[in-house]
Amino acid sequence: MTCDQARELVPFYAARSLPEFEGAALIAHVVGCEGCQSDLVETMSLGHELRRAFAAVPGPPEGTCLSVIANTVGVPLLRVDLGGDLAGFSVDVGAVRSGVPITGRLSILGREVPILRI
Amino acid sequence: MDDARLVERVASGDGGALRELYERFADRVFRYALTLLRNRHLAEEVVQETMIAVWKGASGFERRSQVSTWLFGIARHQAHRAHRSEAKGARVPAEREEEPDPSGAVEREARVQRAVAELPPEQREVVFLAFYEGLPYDQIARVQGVPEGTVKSRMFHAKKRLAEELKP
Repeated sequence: MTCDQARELVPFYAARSLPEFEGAALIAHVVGCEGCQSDLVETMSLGHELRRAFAAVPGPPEGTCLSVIANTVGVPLLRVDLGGDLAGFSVDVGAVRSGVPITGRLSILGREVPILRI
Repeated sequence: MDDARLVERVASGDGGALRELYERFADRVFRYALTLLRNRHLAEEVVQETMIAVWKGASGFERRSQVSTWLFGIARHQAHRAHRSEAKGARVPAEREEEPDPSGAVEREARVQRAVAELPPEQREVVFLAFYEGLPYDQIARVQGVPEGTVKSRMFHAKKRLAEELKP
């Protein structure tokens, strides 16, 4: 491996995203190359700072989830359950912006299988 | 349940699975969209549109890539749409362009955020996907739709610029 090739891979190694075989080849080069050693140390430090900086950015507002649910699955309006613990059938009616979706599930021994989506 | 199985359940119309998928990925998709757009309002929209697209098109997921890579691909498409709509004036951007929020962060952290924000968009995206998401460069190439060499080159230049900007 040349120094130019190593410099391309160092950031991905520091990001912990380099495939194992390439990481091993990179380290084999770095061990014998002072310039690339210094580059790796600096980039590892930079990587640590970048991860912290990205993690410090606040996530999405809580209302986003409700909005997604209302626009996909819908707000539940009605649920009908038939049967018992061994086997049963349930129908859910919801409300979304584009209509009133109806979904049905068959449950057998605790496992649910979707069988209806209108 | 693994991520791919969860997507299969979403494809079968399981609302609970969609909610679970949201819990697992919304935060990551939001940060990714924010990295691309630097606007919290638009990033929130991208999260919503991405999850709606997943609900409608989960059956299109093939296990050739990780679920996260697939989701980032959808989010990227939605982010570009949002950006284009905003550029056409179809939206009213109620807030200023996103600046990294320094509240509660140490000065150095804010400086790193600013340095990342000033990178060209494609480089910023590569830095986020590699350093925050830990995506290998071949997956990043898939998300960006470019050759692996381009991803390496973008990363090389981003790192060089960040190192210069963040010199003590």
